[in-house]
Amino acid sequence: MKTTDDPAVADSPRWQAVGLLIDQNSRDLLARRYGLLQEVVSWFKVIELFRQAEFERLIEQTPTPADRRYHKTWLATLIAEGERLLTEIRASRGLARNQAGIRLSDVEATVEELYDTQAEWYGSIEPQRRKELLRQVFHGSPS
Amino acid sequence: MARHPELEAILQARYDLETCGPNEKTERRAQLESLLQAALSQAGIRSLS
Repeated sequence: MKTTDDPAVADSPRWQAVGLLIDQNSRDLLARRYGLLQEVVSWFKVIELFRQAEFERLIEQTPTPADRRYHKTWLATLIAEGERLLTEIRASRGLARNQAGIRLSDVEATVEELYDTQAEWYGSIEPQRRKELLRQVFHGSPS
Repeated sequence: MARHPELEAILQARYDLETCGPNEKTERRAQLESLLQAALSQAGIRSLS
């Protein structure tokens, strides 16, 4: 996917920044340039930027189709990168103890969090079933 | 709409999970799952599918 030539992305520097960083991280991970812990830290930083873009473009305002497309695309990419990191960490028999205090379980929890976001925005649950479940669980209070 | 403490706690836990530092993810996730499980159990639901 082009990240810099598309006018919809150029309108949103945040999406552009997320895309550029994801691309760079992917290259670094494949090249094993900085080591596993640094790759994990970079992944967490991109997620933070992604969340800022998500808040700005999808929550604070009505998202455009382009916003949803890039959100969906980069969310899927971050999940894939997270799964790849988990595979690498497990193959390395865990993450070395580090100053940031990041553990394997933190990466696992974050990948699950991203899957939750994916289900929330792009899941296949029918609106009627969603309402029904919310009514069952919360006695009909939420809409 | 009336306030719903259980739902508010779940939404707060979700927000906390999304905004916490990387080294807090494990505990925040466990907290959210515990609240969700409690709400589902109370409603007698075993699966969301």
